[in-house]
Amino acid sequence: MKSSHTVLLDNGLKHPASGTRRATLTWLILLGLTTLSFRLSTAVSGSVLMFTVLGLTLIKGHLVTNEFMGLRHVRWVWRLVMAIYLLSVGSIIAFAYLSA
Amino acid sequence: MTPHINSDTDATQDLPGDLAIWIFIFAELVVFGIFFAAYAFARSTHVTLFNASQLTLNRDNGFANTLILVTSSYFVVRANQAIKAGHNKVCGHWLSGALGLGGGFLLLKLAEFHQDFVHGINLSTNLFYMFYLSLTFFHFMHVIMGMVILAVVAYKAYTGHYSAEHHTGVETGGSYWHMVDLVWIILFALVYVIH
Amino acid sequence: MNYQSQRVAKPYFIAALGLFVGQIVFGLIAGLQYLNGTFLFPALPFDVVHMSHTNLLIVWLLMAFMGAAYFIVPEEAQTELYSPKLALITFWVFLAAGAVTILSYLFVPYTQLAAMTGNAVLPTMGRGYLEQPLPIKVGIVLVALSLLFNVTMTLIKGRKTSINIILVGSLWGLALLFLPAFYFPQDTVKASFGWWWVVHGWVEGDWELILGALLGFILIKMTGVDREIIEKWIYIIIAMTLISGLVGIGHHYYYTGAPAYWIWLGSIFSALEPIPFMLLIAFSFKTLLQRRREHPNKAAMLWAMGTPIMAFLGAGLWGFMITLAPVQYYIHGTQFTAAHGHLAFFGAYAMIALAIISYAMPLLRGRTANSMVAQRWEMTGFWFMTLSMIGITLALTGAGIVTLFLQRAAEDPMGFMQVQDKARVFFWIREFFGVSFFTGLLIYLRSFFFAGEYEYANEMKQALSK
Repeated sequence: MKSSHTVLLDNGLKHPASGTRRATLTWLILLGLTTLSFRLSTAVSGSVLMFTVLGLTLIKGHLVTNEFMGLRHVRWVWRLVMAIYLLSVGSIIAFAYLSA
Repeated sequence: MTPHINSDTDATQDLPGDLAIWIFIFAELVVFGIFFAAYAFARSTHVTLFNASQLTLNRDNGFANTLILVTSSYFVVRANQAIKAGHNKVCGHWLSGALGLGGGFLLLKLAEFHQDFVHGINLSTNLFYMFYLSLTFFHFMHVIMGMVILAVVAYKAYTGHYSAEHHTGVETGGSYWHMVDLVWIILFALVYVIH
Repeated sequence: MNYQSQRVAKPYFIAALGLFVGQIVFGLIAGLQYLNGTFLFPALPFDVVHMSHTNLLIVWLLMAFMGAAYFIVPEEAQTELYSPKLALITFWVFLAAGAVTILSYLFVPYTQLAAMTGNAVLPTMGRGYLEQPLPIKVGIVLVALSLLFNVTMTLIKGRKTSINIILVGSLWGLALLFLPAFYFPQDTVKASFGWWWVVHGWVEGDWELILGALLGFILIKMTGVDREIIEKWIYIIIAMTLISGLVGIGHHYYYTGAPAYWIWLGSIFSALEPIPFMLLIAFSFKTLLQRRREHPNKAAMLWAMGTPIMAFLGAGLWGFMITLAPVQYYIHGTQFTAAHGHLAFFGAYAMIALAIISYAMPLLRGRTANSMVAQRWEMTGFWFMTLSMIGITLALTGAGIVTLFLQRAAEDPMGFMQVQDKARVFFWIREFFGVSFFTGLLIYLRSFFFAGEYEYANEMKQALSK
């Protein structure tokens, strides 16, 4: 759990004073990923679009829960619950789209 | 400003804010999760209908609203950091900013609903619009609820109810708002983008 | 008991239990009539027995809720009831109205009763649960208004706790939701809606709030856990109830004649209705584990802990089983519905009523808790009734399955009466558990006839000697 959630933002911003910078960076990444999804919607289609956007969305969800909601700081059980939620919603959607 | 945050290595704490709000957040996430799953499976039997109807949505609006909610969430994070440093006023300002953005979201969404209304689109139009309207309206109501909570927290921040030591209220209200944001992120991808 | 005026709750509770006995007796008769259609005919035809069974259920639950309100509101508001005398008059009016209703069902043919009571002027009679003649319905409204006036005035002059606000608020909801009972147009679709909103507005919405308030009150009193913590949970449970219930109540709007999107909205939201019951279980057991004292009234605690579990099974699980539109298409109106109805009404509402009675009655009789002997009888009654109700539910579910396969989803469907014959064994099992439920009820009632209080010293000595 621990290693997986630090991968995305593991750029040395671990000093306590870097909280603001870390949040700002997260926010900018979120804006970027949103723009990317939005642009992709006209560029590609089909299951490529579905998998890419779904993947981006899960990353965004992970950022919001871990960074903004602060799950990064809490006991791993809660991160696990949230990860299971995001993954199951994601896979249910993927499954439904593939079975269409 | 030197924000006081807990060291990254100490990941053994309880959830930020009240445990009760987290139970509620998880319950709400289940509610939306079921709604999303229903959408996805309904779509799998009506692909052409969904694709055609999705094209009529105002995707720019959805995009803008995502940016707005993400930013408001960021503001709430800043409000949290401000109160942890003991800055009541600053915390209030960030929360007011988040509230303003929430208001902007509502306006844009209302404009979208208005367009649908003008075009005679309603729950009975087709299965896609049934889901689109009920999902976004359900979320709309959650934004309003989140804003009510944030407004109370902002008021309390301005009147000095919180301090660097005692600010569970800010965390509680913030957690709920992030949930509203999280749900919209998935909703945006599902309803506006993926087709 | 801290306030003299709380005493008015006592006659309400006693009457509630009396009516409860009546309900079960009619239930047993109706169960026998399933096995022998001519039993007691023509003196007591099935429709009259059935109507008496369900009407008594509603009336005794309302009695218990009203008693609970008169007991809790002064205690929470920390002031005497606004008018104990009015509460007592209201009690007699309500009891008389209930008795007159049942007697008129038994002795006057229904059509004649309708003609006598002005049903032609404002038609309201004939729909399930709402069979009462017009004057009785008006009486119910007056009784409700009197209760609301009394408790609201008490609330206004006293301390305003969340429990009290929720309780009084949901009593207002209960009264307002009764108003569609007066709406019975020619149009059968509209008429169905009017009927639907009363009973289901109660059981899937408003009454769940009453349940939450009563359970919250009992747990605050018995566990000593901080009021603040308990109230927070109650608010969240209520929010979830409303989020799921307001739209979830539409689970068969579509089949009543509403637009097609109700297939989806009704299914999705009603599928969410078990969530508040799950929260209720989590809440009660978390509170129990955090308790700061051992309350001597073990029996009341047993009822209080049993309620969320049985409510989850009956309302949540059995409700979910029949709620999705495609499922409902096959099993609507079969014994599945009766199974769900029995376990949900007992688990959610009868049990919370018995829980508050169990907590309040000893106090009303001047003791903190009953003697251990009495409590053992009561707890035996609890297990008898609870397990028997599960038996009844499973038997009815069995009968439902028979109907499903032989009639509803069959290639070559059998006739209705033939199917009933095939399900006969399940009706026997149901009647068996019905008798055992009644035995449990008698055991439970026996517990009220032991004198004496719970004695700490005695119990302590016994516990240590073991």
